[in-house]
Amino acid sequence: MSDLLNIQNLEISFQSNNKNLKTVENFSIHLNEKESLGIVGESGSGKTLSMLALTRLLPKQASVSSGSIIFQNKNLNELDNKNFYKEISGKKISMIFQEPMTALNPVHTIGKQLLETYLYHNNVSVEKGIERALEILDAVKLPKYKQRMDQYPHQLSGGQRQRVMIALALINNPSLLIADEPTTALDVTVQKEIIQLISDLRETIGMALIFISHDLGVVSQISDNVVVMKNGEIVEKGKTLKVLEKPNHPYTQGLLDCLFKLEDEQKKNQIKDTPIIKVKEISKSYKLPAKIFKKPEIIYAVKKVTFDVKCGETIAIVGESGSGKSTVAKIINGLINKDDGEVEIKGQNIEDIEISDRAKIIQPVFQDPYSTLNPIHTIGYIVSRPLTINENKSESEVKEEVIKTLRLVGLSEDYYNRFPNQLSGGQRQRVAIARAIILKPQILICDEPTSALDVTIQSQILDLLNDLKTKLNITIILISHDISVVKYFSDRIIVMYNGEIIEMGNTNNVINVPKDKYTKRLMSSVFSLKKNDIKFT
Amino acid sequence: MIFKTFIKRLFPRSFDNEIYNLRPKDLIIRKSSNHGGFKFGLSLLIIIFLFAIFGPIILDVSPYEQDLTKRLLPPVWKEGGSWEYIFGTDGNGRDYFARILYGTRISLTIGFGAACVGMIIGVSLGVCAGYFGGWVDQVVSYLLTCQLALPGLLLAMTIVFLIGPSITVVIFVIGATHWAFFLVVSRSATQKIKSLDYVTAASAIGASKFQIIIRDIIPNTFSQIIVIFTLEVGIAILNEASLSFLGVGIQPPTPSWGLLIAEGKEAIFFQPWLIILPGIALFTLVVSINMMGDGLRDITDPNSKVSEE
Repeated sequence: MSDLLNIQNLEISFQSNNKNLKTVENFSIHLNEKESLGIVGESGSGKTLSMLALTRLLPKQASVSSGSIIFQNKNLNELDNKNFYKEISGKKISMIFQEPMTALNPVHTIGKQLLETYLYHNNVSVEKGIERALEILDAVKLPKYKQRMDQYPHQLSGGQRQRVMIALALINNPSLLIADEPTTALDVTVQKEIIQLISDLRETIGMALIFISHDLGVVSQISDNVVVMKNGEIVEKGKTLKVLEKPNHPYTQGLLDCLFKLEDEQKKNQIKDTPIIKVKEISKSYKLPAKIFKKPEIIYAVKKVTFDVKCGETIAIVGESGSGKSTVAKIINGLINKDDGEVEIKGQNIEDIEISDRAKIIQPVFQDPYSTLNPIHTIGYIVSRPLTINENKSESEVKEEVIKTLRLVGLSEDYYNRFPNQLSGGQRQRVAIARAIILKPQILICDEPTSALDVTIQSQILDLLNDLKTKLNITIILISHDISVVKYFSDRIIVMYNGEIIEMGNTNNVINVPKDKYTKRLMSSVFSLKKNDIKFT
Repeated sequence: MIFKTFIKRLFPRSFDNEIYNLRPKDLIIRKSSNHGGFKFGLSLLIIIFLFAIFGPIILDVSPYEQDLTKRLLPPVWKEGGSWEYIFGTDGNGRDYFARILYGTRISLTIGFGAACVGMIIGVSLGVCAGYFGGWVDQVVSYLLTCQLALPGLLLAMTIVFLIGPSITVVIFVIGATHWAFFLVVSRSATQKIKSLDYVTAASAIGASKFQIIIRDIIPNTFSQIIVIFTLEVGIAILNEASLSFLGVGIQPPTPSWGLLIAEGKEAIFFQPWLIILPGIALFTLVVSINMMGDGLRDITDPNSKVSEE
């Protein structure tokens, strides 16, 4: 096998306030033709940045300060921009990005965008271009691909758009494809299809692949070699299986531990038989704006959902985006009104409970750590607010309570006067949990509490929730699309699809012996890395 | 540099090395001492304010005293000017410097007063429309359409003509015709903020709608509103000038910059300073306010990248 790409000692620095911040240092990778390489690391580790340097898409403030990039025996540093864009970028090296919703231009048809890319690099007629575009759309298995040429991006789903993105990247038969977290923004069931597609296409076209991901599980499936990055440096590299089997660097070890820990048994709460929440046939629908001469269309977000939650239990609601799982949670929390049905909490109808009483029983934790805290207020104010609204306590008592709660979630009292923008994602999520538990609620509704966080932070937050669960004896309703988190965390699972419950039962039963067709698909789409998988090599 | 050392001496705590432990106030002070535009605009505005407040007290000049033998004297830097009348005199022989000085008071009062009136109307309507949506939003949007369809200056002229001109009337009339920007900006900002998790979290901990609007929504629209506010102060000052120029604003002999320009228009070819001087005053004031507003937005926005050293 011959050399394809050789990057030596790449160094990228950011210019800010007359200071040079090195963000990537000593980045050296080597790739043979038709080989695949996975780059793993958490956000901010420089994995995307180093690939952007390769394709010359770095943001303005960043620049490559040293290092050589040799691609197909050509030194790319010697090429000027014009030749680079004409000869290399988009033709020999293509890239697909994370967010399929914004990566396509919404005002042009799919066909036009494909043709533009093809005709820019190839001197052929439009008819030949259309032929090639149809061929590639077929290759990425876009359903009804012949009609798609004249469609606009908004007419396609997220998974379909990502297929178009892949078609765009592959239309010029590149020798190297760089995939930057291509599945992170997609639903789990779609994720697996896309990864399968990329891996199949790599073999049929015979190109090399660099796959960037934060998920070791996914990378282990698709790549021969793996590079682990941390704080802008490569901490470990080697054959994927070897690295997974015998990690040398403590960071890699930590990443693996985070993954494997989810397999371990966890502390379970004492579950009493009395149900704390009773949900009876609740429905919620939205009316679409009426069109002239047509009846207004009604969309059901939640359709006749019924279940009980026992005291002390952790119940997980899983399903893809749009399945109505968040809506159910908000109805139980009393944050949106339902159309139909009944929600009883501790034997009382949710609508009959005073808001201040409800706040002391049930509290939410949200997904996005960046919008969950009001940026205007200090951490101290945010955490103390539930107390000042609902209880009559003196200022010093409140402050004492806040600091106690901050300690409970693992933050020191130094954080009291800080603003949310001075905190990392994981710290913000801890503050959000502190705000939720300061009133000592019996029920916590966690809506994807960890899915916006890095793997290592994710496991810390899960540990924290687990700890609090037993300490405070809280009933948790966990909403997630991540099966491994659900498996680790919950006693029972509810699977939702299109606003309905399609399966419900004991965690182990549902995961190991799924009955419904959709549940089966959902469970088989998990790329979990098992200890046993590695031992056997 | 002088400004920074002065501020450092006033608020030593704001310049601690450990930036993470700063109190909110200290962070804002620290940021503002690093923002060039804000410092320039604020200093200029403070100077103008000091002039407007203390100028007439310290300098013993009267804007009303006429001396017809000394009509249309040129300013000091022109041939024939004297230090007795720095900016010369107007057509009635009144000290032009004194008139511009007194005019500053009128312009500042009307500018900030009218912008405040407009802000109260616009922001309260806009936040309600954005937060409650539904029919409230429709009614407010209808009001906005009406407001935008009416020619503002004509409306203001009519109202002043009917009620009778006075400073208070002019403030309220200009304010009542300048809330459209406030409404549009605060409405769209509210709609965006309403869907964020911290608002949902606030209602989950039992905060009332009023508390959410006051504590969560309005403070977060502040950085956008402040920019509109400074813009509207400038517009209101210019509007007062136009109203006075047309004769329905401030009534003579009260000196207002617009009125000065109106009175000077007959002499535009032979005594151009009668127009240029109040024009420069107007320009300086509006520019200083806009620069300060721009800076304020950068400083109060917690996500802004103003250097913090």
